[in-house]
Amino acid sequence: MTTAVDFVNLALNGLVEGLLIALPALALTLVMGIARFPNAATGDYMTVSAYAALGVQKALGVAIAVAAIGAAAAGIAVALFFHLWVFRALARRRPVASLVASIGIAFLVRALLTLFVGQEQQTFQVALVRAWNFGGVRLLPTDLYAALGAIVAMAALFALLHATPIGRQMRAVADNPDLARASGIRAGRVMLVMWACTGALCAVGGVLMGVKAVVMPELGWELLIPAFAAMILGGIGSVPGAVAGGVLLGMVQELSIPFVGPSYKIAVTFGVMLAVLLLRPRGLFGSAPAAR
Amino acid sequence: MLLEVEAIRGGYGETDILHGVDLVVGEREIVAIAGTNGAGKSTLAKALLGLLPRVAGRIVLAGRDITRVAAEDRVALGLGYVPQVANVFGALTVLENLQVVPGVRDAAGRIAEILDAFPALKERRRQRAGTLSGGERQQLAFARALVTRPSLVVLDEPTAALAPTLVRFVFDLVQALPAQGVAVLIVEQRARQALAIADRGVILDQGRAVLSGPAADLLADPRMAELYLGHG
Repeated sequence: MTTAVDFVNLALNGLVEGLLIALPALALTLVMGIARFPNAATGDYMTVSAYAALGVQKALGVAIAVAAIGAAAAGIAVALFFHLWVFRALARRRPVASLVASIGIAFLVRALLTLFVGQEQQTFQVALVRAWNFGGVRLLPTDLYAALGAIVAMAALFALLHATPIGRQMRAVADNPDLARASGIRAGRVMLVMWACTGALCAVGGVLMGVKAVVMPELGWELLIPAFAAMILGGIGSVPGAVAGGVLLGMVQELSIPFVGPSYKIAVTFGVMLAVLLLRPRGLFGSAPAAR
Repeated sequence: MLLEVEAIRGGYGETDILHGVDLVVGEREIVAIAGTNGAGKSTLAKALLGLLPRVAGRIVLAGRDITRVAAEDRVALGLGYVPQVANVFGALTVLENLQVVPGVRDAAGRIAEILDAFPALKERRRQRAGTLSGGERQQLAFARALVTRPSLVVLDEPTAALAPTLVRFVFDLVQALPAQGVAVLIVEQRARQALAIADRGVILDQGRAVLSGPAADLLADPRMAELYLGHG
């Protein structure tokens, strides 16, 4: 028998999972909105970042928060590298060219990682702590920190987009690239900043996922489909939509466990996504086609 | 001359849409480009702005050859643009539409000045541009193009999507520009109305300039009446 307290616990779990899905969903939606293709390598940027943090922690013996700086550097470097090497050259081609290239990059990155770090699962060194218990409602401090980390990253992105000149320019390019150019906005610079943001979001997501679970070469790849679903559910290109989509998917997934069992929770998520899209094809926060 | 266009050709794909158009615009002059649908009017506007993928010929602005200058760099050289559709950043607020333009000298002062000139926009400055009415959008598009203090503004069919009552209003806006030191190149289907406020006119047909001269002469020209003025 599932009690009310159990549901609260599941909802909390789902919230944390959802916030972690929202990070790659944001990375996807930024690329979708500004570079206009679905970047299938998003998950693997997360994985590279998680391993970078692991490497920094092993080499220097520092706390996870410090190691995360190494992860951010790695995530940003990888995202910028593939933009400058591959995606920039494909920008004038149809989006499917960039999509296929990103699938290739995803496989390449994962193969290289496996070659250098092996297949076995690794873990971050974090203090082992007991879950807080509030009358049956359990909360792991690690989960709380992961959620807070995700929220801080999202707030930083939101502030960048809405309170800085380059953020306004990013939103302008997403809205109307031709008008942006004719208004003197340098699309090349906007693209660099956008990819740096993408790399940083992937880094935070990769490290938090590694802390919550384990670090392995498939860490990010396995999150790619839920992240895509979250982006589509929230509305492609919408920043608040990616967050809402991630949280909604995470919670639905966890809350469905008492009814369908853990094996089928993924199927329920996609059922919800399809149902929402049937009623509202542009997603929860997607802009109306006429307004674009 | 402020703008000199020589033998401009080009298009989006393999085939040319423009087949060698010549054109000049003087300082504080209004020049109307008229012609039927598909004559190449919007393509010509895009070529001047640097938004056409393939362009041959020569475009000289204030004595400088800008044919190979990127679109984003033409703004700093004095070119402003009001496109036909999607002429504002709908997801940004009215104020952000003006703030987003980079490289404006004393941007805050200039934006305040512009908002004073467009009271309807000032009132709605915190509103998303996508929620504005057609006339307000058009004002915002003008305001955005003027933020950079351009010497020439290219207007691509500024009345195309407007209710008839707003058409006069937009033509009044255009007519007020030369007094602010701005020359205008206006692309219009409403040839008669555009020529009525223009100093000179050029009539395009199938990517070629078939008639050009002082606006009054064109309005009186019997060939015009036959060919292109049916649209009002």
